[in-house]
Amino acid sequence: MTTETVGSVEASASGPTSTGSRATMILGIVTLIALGVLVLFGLILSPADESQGDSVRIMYVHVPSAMLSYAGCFLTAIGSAVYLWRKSQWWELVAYAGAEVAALFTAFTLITGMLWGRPTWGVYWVWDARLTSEALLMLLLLGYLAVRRLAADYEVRAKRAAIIGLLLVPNIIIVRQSVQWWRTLHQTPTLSLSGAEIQGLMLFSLFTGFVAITLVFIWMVIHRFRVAWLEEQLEAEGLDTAIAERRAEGVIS
Amino acid sequence: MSTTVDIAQATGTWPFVAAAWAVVFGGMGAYALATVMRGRRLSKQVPPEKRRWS
Amino acid sequence: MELTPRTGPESEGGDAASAAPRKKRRMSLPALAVLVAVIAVGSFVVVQALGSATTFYRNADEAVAQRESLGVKRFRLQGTVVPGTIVQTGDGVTFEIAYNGVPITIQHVGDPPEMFKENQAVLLEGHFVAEGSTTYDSDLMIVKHSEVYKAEESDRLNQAEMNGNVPVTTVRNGS
Repeated sequence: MTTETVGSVEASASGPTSTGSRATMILGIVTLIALGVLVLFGLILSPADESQGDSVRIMYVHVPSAMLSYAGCFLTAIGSAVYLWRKSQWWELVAYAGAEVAALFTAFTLITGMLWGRPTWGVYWVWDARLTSEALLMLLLLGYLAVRRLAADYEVRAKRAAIIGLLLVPNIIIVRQSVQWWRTLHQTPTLSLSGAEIQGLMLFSLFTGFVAITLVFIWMVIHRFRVAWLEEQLEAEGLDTAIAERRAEGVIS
Repeated sequence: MSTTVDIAQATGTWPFVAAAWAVVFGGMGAYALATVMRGRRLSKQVPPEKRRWS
Repeated sequence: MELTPRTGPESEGGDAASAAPRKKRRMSLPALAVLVAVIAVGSFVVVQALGSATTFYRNADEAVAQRESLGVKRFRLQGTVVPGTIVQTGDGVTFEIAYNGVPITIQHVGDPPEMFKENQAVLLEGHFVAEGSTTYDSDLMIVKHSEVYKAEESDRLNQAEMNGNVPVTTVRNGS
């Protein structure tokens, strides 16, 4: 631990020894503060709902998780499209980082949704259009990640993953619109262009959730991108681990 | 004779709220930690000139 | 494909994007167009498939209108619990639901969910007791929530509106 701390201080001389940078450190601190504010408003200051009671508090993490999983999917789709078009590895890595973070937030969305469903609907799960399409989205993301990690040539797995990445967009549109197009147990959006069906501290808590989870998302994508970048550098260099370890130990300087 | 069944207030939903928040905060923390550790391990293997952030 | 280095072994500098391989052929525009078309058609099919499989429930008025064809077939039913009709029974609860002013008597077996109450929109699984009847045997009840949230402390005047985006009676007259 201490050596790593020293290493990051001396990063400017020999290159960073982690995926952190001054910018991401500041972002990380702001994110932690925002998460603290979210806990304060979401769990303590905001009132219980007249109909749902305290389970309304699950919404403050559920809805932002869903939104940011969509954001991750869009990032993946954009990165995939640019990769297929221009073979840009930078964009391919953006897509990969976006997909992994999107999968994490989709999992959060599903789990928190089930934990909300049990006390409010009376069941953890129903196969209505919203829940089914969200489960499909999770499968698609897992498919992307599986294909991306196949033991194949970079070009092959990146291309296959990018095609799955493009499919995320129609899937998100279906998830998002399912409550409008079909009869679902899941309610329609609380926030829309025509207004919010929520007010006061509850609205503010939801807003805090959006801010905090968005910051988490940005932090995660940056760090995950850098990890992916390092992985590809290693592979591109064709270095085996032993040589790399020796270099890291300071044989070169 | 009709009875309004309204036991929601009596039982409470805090266990579900706590579980949901624990999953999200725990999951974010675990993923962040795993990513940072992975980055540190990989950084040692990649030559300094290939790392592009500071 | 070979695992050749994508950048020259001694390649220096350049930003992240330029480190991407240059030698590989780009995807041709027609191929991209075909891909987009395939995705568009594929998503259309998925939408259609989901749509037909997603008559997730029938509203009370529709169920009554179709009760001859429904017979004693199992289907999901939705409506709002009519105030003053809830009666506890030995093995469950009976009550009326209504949608667009059309009521159905529900004989539910099993404990109702915690949030079950008057003016609450509920989803039931079961069947009519007999062909042409408007009494419905239910063994699964799910409480349906609206997208509206309201602080617990505030007044309860709008209780009825809150508990569903479902009109209990239709009071629509032009204006």
